[in-house]
Amino acid sequence: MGVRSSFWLFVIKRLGISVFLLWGVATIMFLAARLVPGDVISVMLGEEAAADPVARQAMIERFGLDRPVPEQYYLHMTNLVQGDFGISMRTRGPVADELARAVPASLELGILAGLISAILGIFLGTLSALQRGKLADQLIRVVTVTGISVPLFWLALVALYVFSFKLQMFPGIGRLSPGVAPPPTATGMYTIDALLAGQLGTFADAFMHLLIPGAVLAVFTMTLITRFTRSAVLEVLNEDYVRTARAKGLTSVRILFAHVLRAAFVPIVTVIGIMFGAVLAGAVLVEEIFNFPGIGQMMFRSAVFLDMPGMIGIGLVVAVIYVGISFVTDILYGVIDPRIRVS
Amino acid sequence: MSVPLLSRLSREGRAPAVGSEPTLPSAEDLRAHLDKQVRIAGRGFWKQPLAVAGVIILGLWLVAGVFAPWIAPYDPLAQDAARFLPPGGDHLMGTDSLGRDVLSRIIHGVRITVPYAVIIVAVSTAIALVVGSIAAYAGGWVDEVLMRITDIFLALPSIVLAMIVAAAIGPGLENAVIAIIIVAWPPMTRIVRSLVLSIRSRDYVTASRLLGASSSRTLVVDFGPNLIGSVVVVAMIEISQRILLLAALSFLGLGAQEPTPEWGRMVSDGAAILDRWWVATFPGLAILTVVLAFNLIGDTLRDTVDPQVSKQVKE
Amino acid sequence: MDNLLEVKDLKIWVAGAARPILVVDGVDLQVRAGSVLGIAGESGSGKSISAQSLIGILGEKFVYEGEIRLEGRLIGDGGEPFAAIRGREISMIFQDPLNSLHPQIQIGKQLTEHAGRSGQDSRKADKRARELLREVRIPDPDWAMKAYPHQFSGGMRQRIAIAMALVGDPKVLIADEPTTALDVTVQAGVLRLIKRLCVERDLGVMIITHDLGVMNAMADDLTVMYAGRVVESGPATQVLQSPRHPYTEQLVGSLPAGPARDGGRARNMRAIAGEPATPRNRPAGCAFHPRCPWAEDRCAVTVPPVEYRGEGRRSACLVDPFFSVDDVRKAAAR
Ligand SMILES: Nc1ncnc2c1ncn2[C@@H]1O[C@H](COP(=O)(O)OP(=O)(O)OP(=O)(O)O)[C@@H](O)[C@H]1O
Ligand code: SF4
Ligand SMILES: [Mg+2]
Repeated sequence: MGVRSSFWLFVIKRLGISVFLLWGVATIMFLAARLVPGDVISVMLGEEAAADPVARQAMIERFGLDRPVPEQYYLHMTNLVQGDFGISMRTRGPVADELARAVPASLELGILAGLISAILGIFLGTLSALQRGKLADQLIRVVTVTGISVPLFWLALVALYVFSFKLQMFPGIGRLSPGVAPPPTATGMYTIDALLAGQLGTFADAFMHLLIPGAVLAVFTMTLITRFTRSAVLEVLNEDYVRTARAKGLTSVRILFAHVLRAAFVPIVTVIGIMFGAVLAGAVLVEEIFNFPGIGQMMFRSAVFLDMPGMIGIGLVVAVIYVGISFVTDILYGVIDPRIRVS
Repeated sequence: MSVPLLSRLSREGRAPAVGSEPTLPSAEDLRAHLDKQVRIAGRGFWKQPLAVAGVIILGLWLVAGVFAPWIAPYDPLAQDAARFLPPGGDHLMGTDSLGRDVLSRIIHGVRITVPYAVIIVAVSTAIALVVGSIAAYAGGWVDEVLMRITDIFLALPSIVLAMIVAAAIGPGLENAVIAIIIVAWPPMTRIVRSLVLSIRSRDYVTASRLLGASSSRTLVVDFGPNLIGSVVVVAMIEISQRILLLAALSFLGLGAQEPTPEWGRMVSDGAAILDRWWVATFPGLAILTVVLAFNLIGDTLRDTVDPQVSKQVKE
Repeated sequence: MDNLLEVKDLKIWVAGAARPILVVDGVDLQVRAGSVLGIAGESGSGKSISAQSLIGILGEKFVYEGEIRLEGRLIGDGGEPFAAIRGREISMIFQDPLNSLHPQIQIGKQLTEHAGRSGQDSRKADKRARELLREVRIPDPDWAMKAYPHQFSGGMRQRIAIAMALVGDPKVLIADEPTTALDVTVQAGVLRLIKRLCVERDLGVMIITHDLGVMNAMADDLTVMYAGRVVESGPATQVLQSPRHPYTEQLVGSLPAGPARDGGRARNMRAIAGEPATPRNRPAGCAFHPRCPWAEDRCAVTVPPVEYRGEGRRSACLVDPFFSVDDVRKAAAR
């Protein structure tokens, strides 16, 4: 009984922190929008629209720009809480609508990249730790240090050029090949929707479109997971209970999987959670290059247009995902590790 | 009779030949065997090939940057040549969409990338040193408030926050630098804070406190050297990530503007014209090598020089 | 009586920054079935390293050389691989019971996970694990099987570790400071358990401890180590009552009379004057000479061999007279 209630207390506390962080981010966004030198309205609406007095008046009313700053802040916050992110000056439509289409696309790409980087990273990191100081470890180190050094936007171009343009091994840009109709919408993720509808051809096409951008996005996070796994495994290898497992006469394979990786898994899971955020960050640079209509491309285009409402809306969505993931991994941490769960 | 060690050094786990003389291993054999097992540990910075490679690459770039006007074959802004000349002949890396020499622009690009990255890291580290030390030293609610503020900044990927700030204060190289400083200080502050806390907990600081040193004196005299050493190591690793961020903002059009020969900007010029691959490829390689050099140096420094880490490596 | 486990001329090197360091230098050990061998010595004298080498769990930084025989068969290098010995014939338990069980795996799982290998079916393994838990006096074994290590006290965890060591029905049990990390109140219980298992199962037990009081109560034989070498060995009561080596003599002399009030910490052997020698800077000749009250000039030059002194006793001292320390005392008193 005590176990359960203390666990829920932990969940509630962690939830409180998440809400606080989101409030903080929203406040920073408010300040950033007011930071703008010159005419706020021009920035929010774009030069030409700002010249139109009707649009100006609508804007002023919407954000309460003629009222004192605290009141503007209150309006900004209530709008956000109600899911109103404002009107994009780029598309002239509500930011929320565009986000609703973009988020599943990015999620689909991010999940694939996360899977690739987690599988490869855990494998390479474990190998590196077990071979510490030996050739494999050195090689993996060269790979990882290159991985954190490569500019993703450039790697995306190179990959697109080599695999799609030169070798023609993969379809080019977009989510689907021209002429392929999107599957009926259920989740918004084309691969899953195609499977749900039983359209295997569409699934294959959508999946092939995900593979190259997914692999590029995975590079940076893969190196981080590799490094993190290496040190986590090295740490566990030094633990007394691993020595006990050896003294018991277990095979090294069993020790590795049942004891070492099991213990190393706890810290690795947290870092993988954080990595999903990093994948989203990378998407800003990579999606546009593959003409992939996710929040990364939306952010890119908003930036090019200096579309503040668009950027703020995306920033908040990204923050929600970021904070949400770290909330989930923290809770997961408690579920995996019996010590935390109880105490 | 004991099992000759040499036999197992040559063939792990094999039984020795029957009746063979028990030979004692020489110190040399033993050392070779053991050294192989702990190759990395305890090695100096200069004995690590990767670190030396990093220093050489960075050195070459710095030389290229300092002597750019003499080394670069053309004026980086001159639009004299034909557009999109492929690499070779008079233009080793070809020409771009305005007929400018790509190689010359890359060489001049070091003069932007490296100094600005150093400024970013220097300023954000300075802020972090002040805020982080205050948080660690004051503790209590001051610490709590400062750390919660950094938490908020860390609740967004740095590139997203930097884009929003850069867009708000207007595109441009200097504004991008400011935007990056704004996103760079919070993680650095957390590192400084934990460094100060860990140094503070060590015995000698406690001892000098007992001897009656004031706490500001303790902060400056006793922490100074220890803290700076660790911070420099962290800053080396920071620089590499900040170079990438600066290039990324320029790539997105929020940083350096035409005609500045900034590498990220140059990659974005080549992005739309994939078949003229050289326009984007070479500046990208420039970013990769400079960042790689900083990472190689920073990584090795962390493992060999930083006393807090190297202590664990040695034993 | 025949030795169950016999170690001859054990040498262990560890990788050092500049060159390998000889941390254990020519150690001989014998463990008999149904009896307890105690190993004593100051911190850093190489006790744990020697013990770990016997089941081949030294880290990669170490290299060993020497002859290890179990019931006459050579094991380790050149003989049966350690992997076949570990847990089945020789088991080991460690100092810190808080860390020696995997924190995320249920006790029952940890006690039965070798089952697949030995071909037992899982129900049998389960039943056996319960029996073992009962044998080491864990209350409510059924509950314990499903619990996690952190739900037990240190003493209980050490009992579980002992049960785990017994799963493979070993002939030899090595216990490296099994009670040092425990509360004084539970130390005696764990020691009694080890002693009882030794007698009931005819186990050969090797126990490492700082606590000479424990030695006195538990050990049949005693080996005293200093700076990686054996300085004295023999039947425990005799070695403790009339030490032949000045180091042992000082250890025994540093024992306060009467029961220990502070949990035996004062009975530890640190009370000898001078810095203990470490393998990294072992003095030439007899390693003990800088601290030895008997030391002569030659002690700084010649390494004293471990020599037979009658009645199953051995000692490594150049100056060792043919009478015991007691006799010297008596002579001085007269
Ligand atoms: N991982 C290691 N790396 C390098 N040297 C080591 C390592 N472990 C032990 N040593 C060296 O081996 C020597 C013997 O260590 P060991 O742990 O066997 O001592 P001990 O007698 O068990 O001491 P204690 O009573 O403190 O447990 C020590 O002096 C130490 O210098
Ligand atoms: S050999 Fe010499 S120094 Fe060593 S114990 Fe004997 S008397 Fe002391
Ligand atoms: Mg020990």
